Amino acid sequence: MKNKTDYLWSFMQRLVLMALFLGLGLGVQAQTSVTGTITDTSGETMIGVSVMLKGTSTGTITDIDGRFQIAAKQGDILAVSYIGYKTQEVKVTGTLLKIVLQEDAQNLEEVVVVGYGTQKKVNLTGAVSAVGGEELSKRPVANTSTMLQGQMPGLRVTSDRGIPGDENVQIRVRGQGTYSSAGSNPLILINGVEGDLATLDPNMIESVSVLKDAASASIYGSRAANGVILITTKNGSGMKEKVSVAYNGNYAVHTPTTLLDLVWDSPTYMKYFNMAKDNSGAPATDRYSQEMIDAYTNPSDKERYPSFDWIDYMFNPAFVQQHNLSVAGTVGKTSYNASLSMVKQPGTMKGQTYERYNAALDLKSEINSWIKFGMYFAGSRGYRQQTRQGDTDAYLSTISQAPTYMPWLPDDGSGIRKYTYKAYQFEGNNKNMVGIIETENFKKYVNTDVNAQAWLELNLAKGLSWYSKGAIRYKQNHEKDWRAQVTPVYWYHTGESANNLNTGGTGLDSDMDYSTYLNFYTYLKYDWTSKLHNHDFSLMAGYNLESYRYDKVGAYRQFYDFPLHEIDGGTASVQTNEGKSEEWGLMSVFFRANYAFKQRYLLEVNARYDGTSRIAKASRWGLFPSFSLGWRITEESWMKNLNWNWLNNLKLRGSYGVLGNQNIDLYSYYAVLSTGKDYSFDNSELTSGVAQTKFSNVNLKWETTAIGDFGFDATLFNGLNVTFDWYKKKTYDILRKAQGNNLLALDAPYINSGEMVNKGVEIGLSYNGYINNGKMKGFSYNAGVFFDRSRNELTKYGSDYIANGTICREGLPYESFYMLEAIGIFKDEEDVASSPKQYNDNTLPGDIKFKDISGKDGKPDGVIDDYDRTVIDGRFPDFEYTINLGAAWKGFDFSLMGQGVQGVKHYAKDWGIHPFKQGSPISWDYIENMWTEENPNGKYPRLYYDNMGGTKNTRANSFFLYNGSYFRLKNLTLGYTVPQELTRKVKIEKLRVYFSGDNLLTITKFPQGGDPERNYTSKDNTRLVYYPQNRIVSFGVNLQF
Amino acid sequence: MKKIAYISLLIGTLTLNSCSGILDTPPTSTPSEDVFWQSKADFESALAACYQGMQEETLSWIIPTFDCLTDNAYGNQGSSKVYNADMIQADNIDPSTTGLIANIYKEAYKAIARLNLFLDQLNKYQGGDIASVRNQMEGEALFLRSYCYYLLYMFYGEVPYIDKPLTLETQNAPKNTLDEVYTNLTRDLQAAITKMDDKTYKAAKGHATQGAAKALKARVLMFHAYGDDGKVAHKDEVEEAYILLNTITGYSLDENYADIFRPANQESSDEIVFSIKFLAPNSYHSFDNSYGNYGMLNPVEDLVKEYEEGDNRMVQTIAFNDKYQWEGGEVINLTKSSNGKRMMKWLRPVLKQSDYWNQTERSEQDIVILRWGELLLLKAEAANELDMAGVADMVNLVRERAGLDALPEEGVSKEQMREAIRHERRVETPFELIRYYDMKRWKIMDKLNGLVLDPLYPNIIPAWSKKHEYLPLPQGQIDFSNGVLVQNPNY
Repeated sequence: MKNKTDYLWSFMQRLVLMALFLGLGLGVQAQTSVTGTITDTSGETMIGVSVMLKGTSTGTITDIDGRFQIAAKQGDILAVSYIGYKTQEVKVTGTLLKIVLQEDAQNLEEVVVVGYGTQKKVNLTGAVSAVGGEELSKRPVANTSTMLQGQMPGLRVTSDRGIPGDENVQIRVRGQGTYSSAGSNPLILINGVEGDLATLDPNMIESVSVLKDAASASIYGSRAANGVILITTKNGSGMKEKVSVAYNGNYAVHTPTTLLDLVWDSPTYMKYFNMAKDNSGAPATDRYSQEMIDAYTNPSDKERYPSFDWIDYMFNPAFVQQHNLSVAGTVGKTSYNASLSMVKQPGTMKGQTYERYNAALDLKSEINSWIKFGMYFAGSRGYRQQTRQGDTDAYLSTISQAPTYMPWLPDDGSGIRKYTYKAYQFEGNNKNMVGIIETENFKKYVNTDVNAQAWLELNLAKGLSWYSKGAIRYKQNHEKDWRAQVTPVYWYHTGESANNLNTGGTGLDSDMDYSTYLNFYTYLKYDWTSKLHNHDFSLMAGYNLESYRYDKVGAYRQFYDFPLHEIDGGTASVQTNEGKSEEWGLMSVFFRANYAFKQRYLLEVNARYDGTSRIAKASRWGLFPSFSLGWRITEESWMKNLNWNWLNNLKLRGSYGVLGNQNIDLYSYYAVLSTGKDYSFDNSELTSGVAQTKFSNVNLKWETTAIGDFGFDATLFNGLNVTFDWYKKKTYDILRKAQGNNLLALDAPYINSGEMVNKGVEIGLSYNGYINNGKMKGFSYNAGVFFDRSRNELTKYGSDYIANGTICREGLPYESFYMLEAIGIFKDEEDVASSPKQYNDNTLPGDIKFKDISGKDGKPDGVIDDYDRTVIDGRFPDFEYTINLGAAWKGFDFSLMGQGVQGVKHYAKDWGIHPFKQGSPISWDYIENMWTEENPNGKYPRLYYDNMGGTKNTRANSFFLYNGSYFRLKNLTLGYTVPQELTRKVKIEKLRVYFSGDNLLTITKFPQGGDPERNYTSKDNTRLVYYPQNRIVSFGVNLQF
Repeated sequence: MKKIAYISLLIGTLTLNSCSGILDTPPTSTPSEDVFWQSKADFESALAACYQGMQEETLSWIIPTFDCLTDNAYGNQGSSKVYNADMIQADNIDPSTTGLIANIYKEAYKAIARLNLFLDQLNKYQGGDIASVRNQMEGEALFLRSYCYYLLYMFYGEVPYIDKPLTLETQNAPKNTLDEVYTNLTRDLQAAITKMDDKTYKAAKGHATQGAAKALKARVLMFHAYGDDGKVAHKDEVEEAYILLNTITGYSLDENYADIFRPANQESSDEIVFSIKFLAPNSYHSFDNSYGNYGMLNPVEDLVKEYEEGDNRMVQTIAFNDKYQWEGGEVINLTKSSNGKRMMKWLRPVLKQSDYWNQTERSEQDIVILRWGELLLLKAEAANELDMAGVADMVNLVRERAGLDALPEEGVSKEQMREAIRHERRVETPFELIRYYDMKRWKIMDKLNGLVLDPLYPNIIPAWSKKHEYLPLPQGQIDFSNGVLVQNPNY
């Protein structure tokens, strides 16, 4: 025992020492006839490269600094080779050689992480895309999910807002798979265990694989219907007795991508306000008088009669920083990677902030020749502050103000800041956000996410190994919602008290929820290869247990005499509390078999048998098998005989399989009652009330997705990689709520009903080039294009469902736009009179004109009514694409990523579209282009106040459908790595400085103020404006010792 | 050897680990149905939930908003709790309009569904422990359901009369005729009268009583009794209403009019016949915030001028110039409004400016559905139509509290008395969902055509058309029904 402890101690000491004596590596200088260094195209030195004297058995490998020494004479040929790189033959000239190795585009040994293991890329038969961690961390963003944008075909990542720490990132693999509440979110696994990208430290990522088709994903069976994203973390292996300490820092300035261009000039605002009120038929008292307008025109006292720009005041450039420190290396048979990170991100809007701290360790050790073990530990803690009614509310309230007053009253000499209600009684507005923020009415979240894993791998016999992993994930979220202070607001001009600041209630809510997720899996794996590789077998089988428990407790007190943000700080006179918990479990057996004949014909079979607690016993188990085939055509001798130099590699793939989805309510098959329906019969205490509020369904079964995929991978012209996939994804027995009407009143039960098909094509092209001679020698470049097209169709649904301007109808894309077709604006009275009557509306010149499409008898009937609603395309994009460009030369590196969406429309209304919505200023654009008697050809309707004239113009209609196509320069990075010769002198391995810019340019026809990059799969997203996304300009440094 | 030992140990550990119980995770925070409906206590809890179901907004605390459909008030355009009442008031009605058209229907049927489940389980339950309260429970549920149908009948006319729990298969029900709705409604109310105990509301401690069912039935009868010409068409119904009202005992007028609507006094009221109760902080609504703080509806001049000189109800109902002073308090500045008039009835008194209502307010006013003051006037109306004596006495009880002179006992014609009663009802009952009921049954809704509600609202032109006598059924429900549910005519 003592020995072991001692060993552990000395190991720890060594770790600490190594961390302390950073970079004080032992570089032994020896004298030989020929020495040299070997680097890759980006200038990184390469360790372990084999250098052979051609025609002899003399050879050596490079050391940690990429150096080698070999006895050779001038004119000898050296063969330099390394796995994954093109072998080079170099003639010895001089005594110091500098050799640059190029990556081999058709790298036969490249492995890709797949479910429960890795596979050689050349042997893959499923549709798997992968990307390395360094590609991701080019983006100067805090949320790791955002980094996946544009990295692979078939993976769509959208975010609809730039709120720090709450970007609402939506990830879809091959489109929207289902309409059930089971959802379309892919399964995200960090080292094999479910985790959250948003709280993951991007610096820890080694690689990301996305399993897109059934063949690759069905090993995850019931949870894989929407694809699987596998994250593997870096563990310092391959570092060969070396310690590397790295620092990455990034300093960024965030500004909004787009903001509304509104009239914050008071006299102009007042003029159009009056016009809008006139047109809306508002009471005559609701007008700015001429005296009022005069007072604001060239005012003598600009504080009393301001033209206050609320957006300008609330939005400011935000300074964001990220820091990361990592230590990685290998000690004996142990390799490790430890990383510490922090992000500090204030929002571009006042009041929103986010901070996150991450610590992670990945460790792997070979105890002896047959036992390997490892662990991964990652913890994160996030602090997020938001104005309490949410970001959208904060943004909309900021807009919903008139420029005729400032957020606070002019100083009356008392020094006490008094917040403004508004200037005039008839003005419309929303809450004073400046007051809300300055009086600290915030929601504060503290999130903790801990992921701890340990694994053991035993090599039982040749080719036979046994791998087991146990993991715990603990998540905790503490939310405090503080609005206990009652702050009066005042009339701007008179200083009279008007009301209290709208904080949406008073008191403090303090809610804590925490969840524990346990995962254990174990599998046996057997590989067998015949001599000459005529037959390669691989078998794997295992089982998996998962269980989850969620707990929540919360408390509320209403009255606080002191600003103490704890429950005990308030009085107990009005208080409530709540508490609940939930559980689910999942048990699975899985299996995979691979067979390759002559490394040409590949076959893979996967299956998983899953049981879930969310489905009743009788039907809780489901089998999810898949089959795939691959044919490496270029390995055929007849192909080789053709001697097609331009075709280096071609593999055909095909797969079919079924996957499940069980992500529904936990207790759908239990007939549970609702408590808390209490009533106060005698007004002194509540009598507890219990009611049935929903239906249950014991006959529920799994929702199933069948995916067929056909594709090929090819390498052409020694550098052009082409990947093509065609797929058809059919989801059936969709778990959804039955349609209930108002009479049924209870929550309808979940049923298995409906069918949806997604068909699509994905194309990925990439080219890596390197200039070997001439002036530009050493110039490497790459270019890539991803193209992604997916078609959605509802193939079985039941009766039509129409809501919010969309329709669910068999044969159409899910929730297709269904509305009146706007065909312009009525020019004049005559135009109105000569056009079909629109509902019972009081249609006036300047209102929206609709097309008479149908009627009761299915024919145009000269009347516009609900029969004229029609399907309008554009619900889903025609296609999406990504362009990547990169280059490196003499220490400079450059990369660019652009992303685009084509052919989608967004329904957008309210702020920014409806003038004077809640008193928000009209836009300059509207003023110029609206209908007036003088401008009968205006493209916008007559000016109304707040509601665009009401129902007559705002019934779901295509006037509010906007072209959401865009192309966006997502990222542009320009870096410079200081030559190693210089940095080595100060013991620095690598020093790179860079500029990285995000969302620098957007080309779109979408209305200003609205961001076309949004989660368009929800029909409820019908506002033009949300909290704006961020344009980022950043500078950073990568430092490695 | 060592290798095998290690491996065996590992296998042992892993086998222990594989508990199959992880797939059995019954709900941890809610009771399951198979253990419910087993005892009297269960039925009491279920009945409490039925009453709680009546707290839906349009069934309870949104009650003042309905006056925005009449000549009493105007609802601020766009305010969510006004529920687009202004569009209906202007006869700008569309089945797709959100607000009242969609919500009364939805919320009434939600309450009805819960009541039907309760009644169904009560019928199935054989336990002897509820023998003594079975009838009372059934009567209460029938009464509550009838109140929902009374609203549906008044607003939509023809609706599906659902009296059993529905399933996915049976949910798509057609509507019943106007006559059937009326017949079922009066039948149910009669059953409720028969089954319930005759206690006062105070004695029944918040449960519905026989008296409440009688009062509601009288209201339904008096709604149905008038013909299209606004004259009594069914005298027998007026007679029945009179008898029902005349047999309600144990109620008297509270001394102070405003107190009927204030939580501090409601529990001791002798006037309230039935109300929907609330008790903050857990059972609350946002009345004071919505009507007091936001001031989303405004009483109009047409109502103000209806008050006689010296009628103390006016200042207990309306504030002027956006200022108000409660008894014993200072003058409070109210949120400024477009005509300076604000509804004060129901609101929690605010004695000093800093004590102003805000969003925090968890209001707990019981929403008074039936009260003796109004029922007395209804009784007087019935008596007058039946040419009975003593009509003025009933009206005078109400007038006396208002600080007004008594009507003369003699020398008043039936027509004059009718006008006097109608006038009295209007000033006694604003913001209690009585004005809409009255205007509709007296067939005087057309008064709205061209009416100037308030001189400060010259552009707001109310309108009414006979063809839109009943509101349309919500368009979403029509769409869903595939032709089974037929839209009301003229929409």
